[in-house]
Amino acid sequence: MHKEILYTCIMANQQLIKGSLSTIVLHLLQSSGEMYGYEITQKVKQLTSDEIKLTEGALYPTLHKLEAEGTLTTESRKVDGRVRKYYRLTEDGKKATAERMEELEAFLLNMQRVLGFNLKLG
Amino acid sequence: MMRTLTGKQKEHLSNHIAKKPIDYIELYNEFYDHYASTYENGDEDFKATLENLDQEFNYYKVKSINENLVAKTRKSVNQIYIEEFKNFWRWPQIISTLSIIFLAYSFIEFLPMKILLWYVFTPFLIFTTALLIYGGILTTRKKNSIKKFKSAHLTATHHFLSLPVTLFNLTVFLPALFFEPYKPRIEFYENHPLVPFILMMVFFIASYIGFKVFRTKIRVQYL
Repeated sequence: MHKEILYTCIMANQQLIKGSLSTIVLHLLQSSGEMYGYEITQKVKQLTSDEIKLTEGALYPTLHKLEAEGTLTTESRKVDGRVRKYYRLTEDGKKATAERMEELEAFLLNMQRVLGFNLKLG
Repeated sequence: MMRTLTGKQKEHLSNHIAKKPIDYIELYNEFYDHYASTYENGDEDFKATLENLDQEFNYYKVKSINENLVAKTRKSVNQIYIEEFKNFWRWPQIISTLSIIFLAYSFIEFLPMKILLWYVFTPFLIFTTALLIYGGILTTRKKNSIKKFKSAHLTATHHFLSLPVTLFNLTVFLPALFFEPYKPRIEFYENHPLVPFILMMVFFIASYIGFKVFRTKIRVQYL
């Protein structure tokens, strides 16, 4: 029974993360300047005290999609003898990030009103 | 102190990633770096790290990412083309762009077409063709012990670089060789300088931006 509840919670959590994955990535890149794939997963783990784990299978398609849209730009560099691909926001990406953050904030405020929980945004 | 991969582990990891359904060097490099960074910053042993990551990077997910990569890369290359094209029209580049256009148009109006063909079009043609060939050679050279990789960026850039070559072939070489005498074609260009002017601009823009994409997106993957 406990396992089922735990599984349901994890799945629900993953669905929520999937819906906001691009916003998370954009926001992290806005605060850090540039990051590579592994670094993004670790940053999310660190910020959420291991509670949210970004799945790599979802992260990389999201990064590639944002790059294709022109929201992100990439630069490959040699680090420790291997090629590392760094992602950073374009000018359009900076505007898109601000818009997404506003949308998310409005959405969370509405959820707060509908569901009646107390959420502090700031 | 952070662990680093030994030579044997690097080789094992390289083959491990190459066995996945990956065709493109960009994806191979990205996954290789992810696996290597996970091991170097983690505390699990090498084998366990690979097994854990393989659960996420399973066959179907990797195949899907690989299949979508060229379409996405083509979109991002298109973005670079659009951005660079816009850059031609930004202040203060407007002055240099207009100067280039004025000079190019003057050349076409005043220089004999034969000279233009051999001294202006042909170098551009050689440049774009050389980029294509150079990329092709690099692609055949880049392989690990079990697999050769293509470049998604090179594939996405090909259709832009091949555009001026195709235009040149269709409008100059092929008609001259097979369909009509050479002279009337030259006379046509001399009487309608706008046609070679547009051709020249297409060459110039495609070559310049193709080179830029090659330098920033492709070169580092191979060298």
